[in-house]
Order: sequence, then structure tokens, then C-alpha cells
Amino acid sequence: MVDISRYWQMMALTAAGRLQRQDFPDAQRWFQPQFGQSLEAETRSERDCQQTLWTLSQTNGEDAPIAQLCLRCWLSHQIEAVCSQLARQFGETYSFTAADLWPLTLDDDGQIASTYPSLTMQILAKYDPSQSALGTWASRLTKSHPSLNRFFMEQGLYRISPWAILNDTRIPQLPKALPHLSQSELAAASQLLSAYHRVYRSDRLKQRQGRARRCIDPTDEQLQQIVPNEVPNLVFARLHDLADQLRQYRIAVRRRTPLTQSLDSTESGVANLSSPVSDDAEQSQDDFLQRYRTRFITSLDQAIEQTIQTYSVTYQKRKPPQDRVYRQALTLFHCQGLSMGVIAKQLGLTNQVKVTRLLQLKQFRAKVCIYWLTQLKAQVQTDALQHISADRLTEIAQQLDHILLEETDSVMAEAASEAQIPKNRTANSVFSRRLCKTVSAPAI
Amino acid sequence: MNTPSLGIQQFDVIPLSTDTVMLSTASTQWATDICQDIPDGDSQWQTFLRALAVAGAQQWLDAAGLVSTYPKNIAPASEVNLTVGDYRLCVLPMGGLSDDTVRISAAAVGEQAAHLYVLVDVQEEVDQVRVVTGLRHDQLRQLLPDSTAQGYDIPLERFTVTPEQLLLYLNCLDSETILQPTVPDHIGEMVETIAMGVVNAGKWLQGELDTIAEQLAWELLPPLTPAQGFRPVKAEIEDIIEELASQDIAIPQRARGAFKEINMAGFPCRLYALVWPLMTGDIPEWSLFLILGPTPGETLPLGIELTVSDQQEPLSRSALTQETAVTYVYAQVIGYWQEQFVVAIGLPNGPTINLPPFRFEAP
Repeated sequence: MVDISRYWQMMALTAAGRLQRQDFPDAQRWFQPQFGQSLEAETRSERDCQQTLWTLSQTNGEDAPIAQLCLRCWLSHQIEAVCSQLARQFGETYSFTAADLWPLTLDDDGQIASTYPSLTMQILAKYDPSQSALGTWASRLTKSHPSLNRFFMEQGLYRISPWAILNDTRIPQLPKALPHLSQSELAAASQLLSAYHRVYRSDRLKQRQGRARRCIDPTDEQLQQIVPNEVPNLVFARLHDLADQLRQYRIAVRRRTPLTQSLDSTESGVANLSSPVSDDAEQSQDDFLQRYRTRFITSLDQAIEQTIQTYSVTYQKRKPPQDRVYRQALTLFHCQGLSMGVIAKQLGLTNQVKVTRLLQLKQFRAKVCIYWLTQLKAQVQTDALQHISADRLTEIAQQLDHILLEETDSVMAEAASEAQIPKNRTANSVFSRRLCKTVSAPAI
Repeated sequence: MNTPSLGIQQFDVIPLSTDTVMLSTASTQWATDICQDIPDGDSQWQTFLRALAVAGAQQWLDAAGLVSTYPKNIAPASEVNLTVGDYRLCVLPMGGLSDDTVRISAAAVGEQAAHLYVLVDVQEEVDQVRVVTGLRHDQLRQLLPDSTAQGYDIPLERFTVTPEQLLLYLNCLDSETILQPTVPDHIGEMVETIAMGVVNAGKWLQGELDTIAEQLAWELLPPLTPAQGFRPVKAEIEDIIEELASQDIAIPQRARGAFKEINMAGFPCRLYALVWPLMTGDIPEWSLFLILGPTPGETLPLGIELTVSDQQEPLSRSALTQETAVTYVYAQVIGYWQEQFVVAIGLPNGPTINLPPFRFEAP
């Protein structure tokens, strides 16, 4: 069932920042008799209706402004849907709601024959119906909207722009990245991409004075240089489309490789990228750890203390200094077992990503192991340790990490449950216990 | 009403990770300057990305308490481009079009070989890089065929060294042990399964195996005989094909096949692959039919799974379950001629063997 009121009701923000459907009776009176009935009876498709509206809006006729307003109304709903979905997907982890995204995207002033370059106006201005459906185009441009991406960047989320993807794509990568294309389509794509490279990439390198800026849409002048004798909008749409296809490949690759690191894995502190110690390795007679386990545990405090010191010195150099916040975060995480999200709120940090980056859980444990191994190497002058193979060293480090993450004995576990430490957290590990004691000691 | 659908993958965002480095102005300025004089557009841009990666890797090492150096007066090349004490590092940039293979140039493997190959994700637009993973020289050696190519395309999944392990090696491991490792005793199996080459199954139709297939110990099957043909000793595969035919799963007479013995965690298995060309409308396609059974006289482990994937995702998957009486599993895929398929055999909660991909070049 088509909700035809979307063509005369705009999703707009009130002065108080609330979202409401703003009615445009003129638009309704104009739209309803021409399109409403046939849409509702499904004798006319939405796509067809939008095509007609778009064509009308491109003319100089008297209906052009009202046809455009109807499309802007409809687009506002599409934009709102994108915002809601983004908030559902990332909002909790990255501490934002859909309401934070509305002012960035729902900026249409609702004026008939508006001149303000709102997102809806930009979507229409760059639209080429021969390349895609309006809905697809709208969602594409909304997701690439600069102010939205700037906001995400502040939350610690980077979305690569279509232009950066095109910049970094080498022509020889195309056949593999776009296996669905025919030979002639592939040739056309290669030609387009190398023309784009010649113009856009060299301009970027020339303009890049040290610091980078987000890639901006190619100008009409650049588009004309890329494909002379062609309408800039069409070139723009073709480049956007190529980038979108490459993005699909990029997504597929990132999904199955270590290029994507889920935030959860860093939060729980479990090293998900290193292969877990196999049962075999654990069961195998391990003289090394048999001999050194106790020593490792007893000298742990020293290693932890040293590591905290190193991080503190580094964080002290930040502007403003972060060492105090770091100590507080360590205490909240390891002693009180609070989640990263809660810690972020308590310490006034943007979101849990900031806390994750501050605590560096995995690297911290690695440094503890490195400190201890270096000490050991200096103390025991055995060949075995001097010329240890990479595989063996990796195995030992994994086993040490394993010891660090081991649960403490049952008495400790009970104490932990009394302290309401959430399940599946590392706060109950040997490591957390010792770290908590060290960080709470007045000496540090 | 079509609301835009928006999976996390579709929105394609990269969260800041603990190993993300914010490049300093000094780093980005150097990278920009150092590549200005390189004329050719493409190699200029690639050098630029590499320079960002090298400078970023140095910042990352510095933050972890390690001193690294690189020559400031020349643009970094695709060879050893960063040193940490005795360690020679080859920093490999990965640009915005993530790829599932990484090119390592011959110069970084030869006489002045790098000890460590470090993959760095470069986000040029926002002056960020991330140290993703690494590969040790000895690990690379195990992957390389005995040929002298200009470079090696290494599948990304072969890079298994985590950033923490990189720090571990640089701090605690004698760099020499990476260049002259004692040969581990179990490498034979591994080398065999490395996805370095692509098997051209199209050759089979001419009754030939290509070099890769030969190296991987594939053996050609004799042409299929009509089912009614009387033969004193029937090959096991013919039994399976007959059985499949009785279930209306037909393998045409023109198909040719090959087989290969695979040891799956101690279970001797035999993988049959049958190929034939076909036309769908005007489009020439090819069919790859795989049958995984036990080596004659053995049994297949329960739960063993056969998966065929294209470049993107699994297309066909079947596992040996308790319910069925059959002793084998099979999977079939159909694709255009230029499409490649990857076959994986795995055990639940156990190892997975990925075989080099199959392609079909028409005879």
C-alpha cells in the first residue's frame, strides 16, 4: 500500500527540534487528482510517478516548482528512514540517536521554488533518471552527505567517500573487483576510471598541503575534463555508480578478512585475531611453562606496574594530558568492572571507542608479556631462549596471555559476583585482579 | 514502498580501532612532498599511499616504545622501507579498495629480504592508518613456489601475525631466527594447500592436467563410460555417479574429472571434481561438480563439510550428517567461463582446508 501523503507531507523539524509531518495543502491539491488515485489503485508505479514529477520539475512550466516540492516531501521520508536505521545500527555503541542526525540532513526550508541547497535539493540537482531509481539515489547521497560523515567521524566512525575509493583503485584491480561486468563494460569502466584519475587525483595531490580534507564531489569543470562532450550529471552518476560497485567488493573483502575488527572483541579484551591456544599445545608437555608459571605470576605486579608507568608517561604528553583519565579508566574497568560505555559517561568521553583506545587492553597484556620475557631472557642465559623460534615464541606468548585471562579461583569468583561484575568480562581474570591492586596502591 | 535497506556492511563504516594511528602533520607533509616529483600518475599515487603507511607505522611503533627509521630523502619503495634495530620491515599499504590479496615485490623477498611484512590500512581522506596484520619472512617462504617471479600475490588470510605479535617479535625475538628458521616437520601438508595458483579445469576436457594441478597431485579420471557398459572392475566414482543418477542428479557423458587424496585431520579423504561446459541461452557456462568421499576402504568423519564459494560468498555447502546412509557429500556450482570457484573442506570445530581455486578456460 502506497502512502501517498508522503508526496505532500514533509518530514521537518520544529523550532524545538522535534520531528513532524509538515502539511503542504497546495501540493496535495495539485498531486491528488493527477497521481493519487492511480498510485493507490496501483495502476501507476511509484517509479513512474517520480519520473514524471522529475521531468516536470526540470521544465520551465508553471507546474515545475510544485512537482519539485512533492519530490522533496517524498525524499524527506527517505532521508528520515536512513537516519533511523543508522541510529538503530550504531546509536547505542556510539552514543547518538536519530534526533542527532535530523538537523544534519532534514534541512529543507519547505519554500516553494526554494534556492537553499538542502540535501533534498542536492539529491534532485544531481539526479540522472537513466542511471538509477530516485530512492536508491537518495539513499546513496544521504549516506555520503558531508555533514553526516563529519558527525560520524567525531564519534569515531569513518565512512570512506566514493571519491577516495576511486582514487585508491588501480585499473588492474577492476576485473577482479567487478567480475559481473562484460568485457566491453569493463573496458568502459577502465576508461572512465583512468580519466578520473588523471583529473581528480592529480588535483588532490596538488591541493593537499600537508593535511587532508575529505574528498569533495568533483566540480562540473572536473567532470567535463573527465568526459568531454557529456552532461556533467551523467558523468557524476556513472562515477558514483562505479564507486558503489567497488564498495560492494570492498565490503565483501573486509567482511571475510582481518581488515574489519569488531569493537566487541576489543572490549571484552579477548584476543580474537590471534588463534587460540589449541588443546594439543596445552596438553603437550611444556617444560617451559611448568617451570616458569609460578615465576610469571609472582613477578606479574612488577610487569604491570612498569607497563602502567609507560602508558602514563605517554598519556601525560598528550594535550591536554590524559594520564589521570587513564588511571581512572583502569580503576573503573579492572576494579569496578564497569562497561566501556558506562566508563565513557563517567569520565566525560565521547563514547566507548575513546575508552577502548585509551585502555589498549590487548596491547597492554602483550606489553606485560614482553616485559616479563625480556627480564627472563636477561636472567636465564640458556640457548633455548636466545634462539627460540618465532613459532615457539608466539606459542609461549599465547600461553602467557591465556594465564592472564584465566579466571581466578572460586573464592575470588564469589567476591567478584558480589561486586556485580558482569558476565563474560575480564574483570575477574588474574590479570584484572592484579592490575586493580597495583593501580590502587598509593605508590603509583 | 521501498525503504532503503542498510546493513552494517552496506553502510561500510570503519570504527576507530586501538591500532588506528592519527597521522601527524609532519608525517602527512613528508608523504605529500616526497611523491611530488614522481611523474606517472598511478605510481605517484601508490607511492603516496605507501609513504603515509610507512610514516604511520613509525608513529605506531613509536607509541609502543620502539625506535624505527626510514630514509627521509627518498620516496619509499615496495621493498624494505622501515627498520627497527636489526629488523628490516616491508610496509605494505592497503588503499581504499580493500583487496583480498597483497602484492609483495621480489625485491622485498630476495637478498635483502624483509624480516616482517606489515600490512597497513591507509585512510588517506582522514589522515589515518591502521596497522592491521603481518607476515613473517619464514611464513612467506613456506608459501612461495620455487619460481622467480617479479612479485608474489599473497592471499590476505595468510597474514596471521597480529599487531601485538609484531611488537612481541620486535622486542623479544632474534631477527636471524626469522630468516633461517629450523624447518618445522608439518609443513608438507600446508604447502600443498596454499592458494598460490589456480587450477584450469578446462584442460581436463582435453584429457590433460595443467602444471598447477599436477603440482597439487590431482589425477585425471578416465572418460565416463555409459552406465550399461560392462566392466570387470568398476571405479568407485562410477558407483557414486550411478547412485546420483538414480536420484535424478545427472552428470553428462561429456564431463571429465580428476581426483585428489586429502588428509583431513587424520582422515584420508578423496575429492572428485567433474567439469563440463554448458550453454544457458546464448551464454556459455561451466559446471563444477564436487564429490567428497573417503579414500576406498576408509570412512568419512561425521560432520565433514564441503563448501564451494565464488569470490564473494559460499554458493553451495553440504555436510555429512547422521541421518543419511550415503558415505559421501557433493556440491555443484555453475558459473560463467571467467568465474572462479574455491573449494573448502572443513570439520566442525576443527581445521579447514582451502584448496586453490578452479577456473575454466575453454579448450
